[in-house]
Amino acid sequence: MCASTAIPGTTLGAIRRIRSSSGAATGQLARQRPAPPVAWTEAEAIRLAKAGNAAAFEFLYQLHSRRVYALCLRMVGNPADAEDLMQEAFLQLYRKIGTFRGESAFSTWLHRMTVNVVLMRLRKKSLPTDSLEETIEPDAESSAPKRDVGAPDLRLSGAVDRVNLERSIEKLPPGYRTVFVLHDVQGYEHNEIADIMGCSVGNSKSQLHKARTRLRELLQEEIREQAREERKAAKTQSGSLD
Amino acid sequence: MQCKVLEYVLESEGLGTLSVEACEHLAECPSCQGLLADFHSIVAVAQTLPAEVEAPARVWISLRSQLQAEGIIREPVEALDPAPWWESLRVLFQPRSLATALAGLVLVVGTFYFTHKPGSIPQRVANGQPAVQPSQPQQASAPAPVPAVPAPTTVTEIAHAPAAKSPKVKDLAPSPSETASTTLAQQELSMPDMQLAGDTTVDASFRENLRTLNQFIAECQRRLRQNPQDELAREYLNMAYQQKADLLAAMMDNGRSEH
Amino acid sequence: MLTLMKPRHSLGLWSATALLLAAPGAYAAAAAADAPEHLEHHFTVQGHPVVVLQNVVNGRIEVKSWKNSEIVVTSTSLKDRVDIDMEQVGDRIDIAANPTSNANSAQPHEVEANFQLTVPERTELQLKTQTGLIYVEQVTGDMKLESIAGDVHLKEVSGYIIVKTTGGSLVCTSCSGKLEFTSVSGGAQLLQPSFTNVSLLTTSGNILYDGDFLRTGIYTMKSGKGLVEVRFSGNDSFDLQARTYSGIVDNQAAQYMQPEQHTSRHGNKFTRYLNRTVGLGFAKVEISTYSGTIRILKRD
Repeated sequence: MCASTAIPGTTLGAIRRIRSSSGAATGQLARQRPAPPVAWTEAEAIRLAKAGNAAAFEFLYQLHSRRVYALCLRMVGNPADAEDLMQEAFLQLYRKIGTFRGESAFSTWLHRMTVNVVLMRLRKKSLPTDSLEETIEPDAESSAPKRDVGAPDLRLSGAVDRVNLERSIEKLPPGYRTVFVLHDVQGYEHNEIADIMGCSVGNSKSQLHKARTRLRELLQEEIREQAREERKAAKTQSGSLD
Repeated sequence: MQCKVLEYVLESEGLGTLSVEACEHLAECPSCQGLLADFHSIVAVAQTLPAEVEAPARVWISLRSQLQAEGIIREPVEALDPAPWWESLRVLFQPRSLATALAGLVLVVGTFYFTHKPGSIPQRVANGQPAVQPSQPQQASAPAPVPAVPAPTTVTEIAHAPAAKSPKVKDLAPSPSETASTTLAQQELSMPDMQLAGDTTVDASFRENLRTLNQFIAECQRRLRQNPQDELAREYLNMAYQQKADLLAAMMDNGRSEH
Repeated sequence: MLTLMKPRHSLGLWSATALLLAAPGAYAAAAAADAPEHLEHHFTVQGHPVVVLQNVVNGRIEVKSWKNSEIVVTSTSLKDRVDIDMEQVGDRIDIAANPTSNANSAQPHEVEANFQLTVPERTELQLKTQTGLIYVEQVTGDMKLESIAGDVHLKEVSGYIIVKTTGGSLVCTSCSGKLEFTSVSGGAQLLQPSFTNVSLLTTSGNILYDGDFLRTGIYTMKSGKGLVEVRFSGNDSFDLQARTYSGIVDNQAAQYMQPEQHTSRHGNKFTRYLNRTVGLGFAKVEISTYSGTIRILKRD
């Protein structure tokens, strides 16, 4: 799917209306506003949004913005970028709302667009991590995750907290990060993730397993690093007391 | 079972209930025990992370102004007064032949009523329309209710209803399909009386494709009557209903745009 | 008698002369009224524009791309038969062609408008026509293309492409992105495609897929009564699920396939099915017909 960039600074004044020479203006492009409802369902709001109804757009935004923002925030790690990406995702969605046919859930469609926008941005930034294509391809040699040779396994029970988990999630490759956030944080099922990511269910499961394995490694490194720092600090303190 | 196999099981089955062989291996392998425990820890903490976060209000404000600038949010051109009551009647009478037929029907019914006693008016059914049953003298002169030209949303709803309510494997009750079939058939009855378009090619294409769909639907229905458990037939039948609803909607849209 | 005849004779001569003089003028006026009207409009755009064209009358729509930040719309229609409306708001161009009141008495071929659009390479398109061809070449962007009886031809197009016809067929050459095609009797031919996601659905049309299956791609092809033919290459790697109720499964590439490795069986006692794997089964290919033939072969 191709991304459309936002158009900064476009004013409302740039309207040109052109008629053919044969007849008077017939107002073929005019729309009528329906009466404001007491309560809308999502389907009604989508129908009205297709006709350009402002309240319908806002209704859909309020319905989905929190999950979308949470996803963007987890993917890029900072609120400013997350806000930009969320706005871009909704903008793309609303530009294409006329093409929505209701074959998949609206939220799935929105999340698909969000994931694409986020991954495109991450790709452009050329983070020193794996590209999306590499991370969603199954390992040709073996699907088994690597295990550190020589270093004893460090149990994470009780040592994992939200802070170090969030830090580790940020270090994951984009593809792993997306699947992990969608499944373990936001609670999507693999068939929904496959829809969102445009991959198969098998791939989604594979990526999730690899994400968890990688997170385990990152958390173990972090905990070892923390322990090393604590030992160093303790040594320095005991040395200074001597 | 080897450690690699257990990892494959975790990858394909997730962290849920494990098989007996997997549990036996876990009981003997501290490394795999550690792996599974760590996964559970990670998932447990991940589930405490907020799945929803409130975005700043400025995002919607900025988005809305962008949508207005691009014309995606359109301000109404005309006044917002609700459509006058006769507007709905005007829409009903847009197809000229239908309007003529209805006007004639009203005249006949009205004449018959005023020359006979109330209650003795015969019921008439024309082109699948319901019978005219005036119960009060005042109602006799009112236009008969005509479902032959339904509101656009009816067909649209039908177009999406079969897909949204497609029966699952275990739920093979035919009622959603039967309902769709009946409603689509009623919609179709009104079509021959409507002047669709001045273009013969388009009209012919509509009718040819409607014929194709009806034949296919009949075939699938025949198949399902013989074997109600046939999922493939049911899948194709639902697909055909969806296409027929879309086609009827397109035919109605085409007819309206020509008047 | 001669006296009586003289005024009639001169009257007739004057009438004939007047008619002879007026005839060319009348003919010219009639010809001018029937002459096609060519309109050309230029729209300056900045980012990725959106073009929405609703051609309620018949006619052909051709879209090509260029590197300029400008959209050129050229229309040809009969004056007094077709009303053409164009509106620009920011980077969104709305074009509508509708019949005038004079069109009721006109012949069908007189009530049509042909459009040629030249757009930036990255443009989003929403095009709708009735019987004319829709042709798009070298445009990248999301597209929704609708036609009743007209065909849709796409060449080197990329994006999220949705094509919907009643009887028209789709021919897609060297296109990429994602494709959804729905038709009642129209067929689909995908030649040298590079799609990551394909969904082709037709009740009686035929489907031909002649190209590669990308890694992790998902390809679904369904025809009620038509033929579905898939031609793959030696480099392809996919899981294949083929199902049919009463059609024939003509697998001419059995020697290049092995029993399915990744997918579970989805058939039941009422359907014929074929589940195979080519290569390592990276992509997923689902083919289904109700009574049509399924043919699978390997390109040399």
